[in-house]
Amino acid sequence: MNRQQLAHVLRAAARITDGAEIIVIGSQAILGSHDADHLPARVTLSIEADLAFRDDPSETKSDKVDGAIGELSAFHDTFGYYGQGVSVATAILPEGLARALGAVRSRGRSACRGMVFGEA
Amino acid sequence: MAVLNADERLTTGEAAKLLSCSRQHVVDMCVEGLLPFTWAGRHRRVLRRDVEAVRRGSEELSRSERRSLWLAHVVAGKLLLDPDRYAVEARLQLERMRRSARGRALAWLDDWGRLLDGPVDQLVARMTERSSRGCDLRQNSPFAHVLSSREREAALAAFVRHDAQRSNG
Repeated sequence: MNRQQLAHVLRAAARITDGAEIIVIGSQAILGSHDADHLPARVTLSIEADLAFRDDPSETKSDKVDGAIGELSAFHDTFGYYGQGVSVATAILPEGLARALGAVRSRGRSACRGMVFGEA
Repeated sequence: MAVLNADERLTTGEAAKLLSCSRQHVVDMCVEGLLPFTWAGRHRRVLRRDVEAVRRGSEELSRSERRSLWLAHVVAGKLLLDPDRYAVEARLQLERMRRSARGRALAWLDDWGRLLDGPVDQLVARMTERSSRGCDLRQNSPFAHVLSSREREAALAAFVRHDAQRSNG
């Protein structure tokens, strides 16, 4: 997955969750500050982006995202990558580390905002 | 009462018994750096504590990993109905995936390629493994075409019900 594909997944996830703030966790989070082409080949970039939601205690948003664009979905089959809704518990950050989150913004009709580690 | 020594050095065969997997799988984990080992002559030895850590890791899946495993079981059921058809389609999908894959993802695709060339029961066993290796493999699945939207929706709904019962039970 590259930065453009991550933005695509974020736009889709934002539509599904009515613009909820999304936190990108896992290996794809590095795409917030570097595009895949600028990373060494040994860096593993899988085809899934793990997406968590700040206000999702019952994991409803996570399930909705996974249902629509998750693993083995039509979205996955069509584009070759997918967004995986994960538990918000996975994204609990140590105190102070939340400040390290940078935003990935997507402009245009389906503008959305995703939070990733590092400067976006 | 027997007291197990965490520093006990086990053969790969003994580790395989503890992990309920093949000896070759243990060797693969050693080669891939997932399980530390030392040499005893020409044979690998692993510490009981490291094997137990792998076993614990494979038992404690996150909810999204359990959901992925659930879907893999559903896909496995369909594969067994028509292995040849799905293997052909998956090989084509693998080729498409290779064009954009890089790093470790390429190794996972190689794993899938080997599995698709082998017996279908081994393929099903690997794609439904609870280990971290099984989780990684599923995240790069060439079987995105197998389930219809309706089947996938039904499978996810069943998972949500199952997971709620599991949490309440």
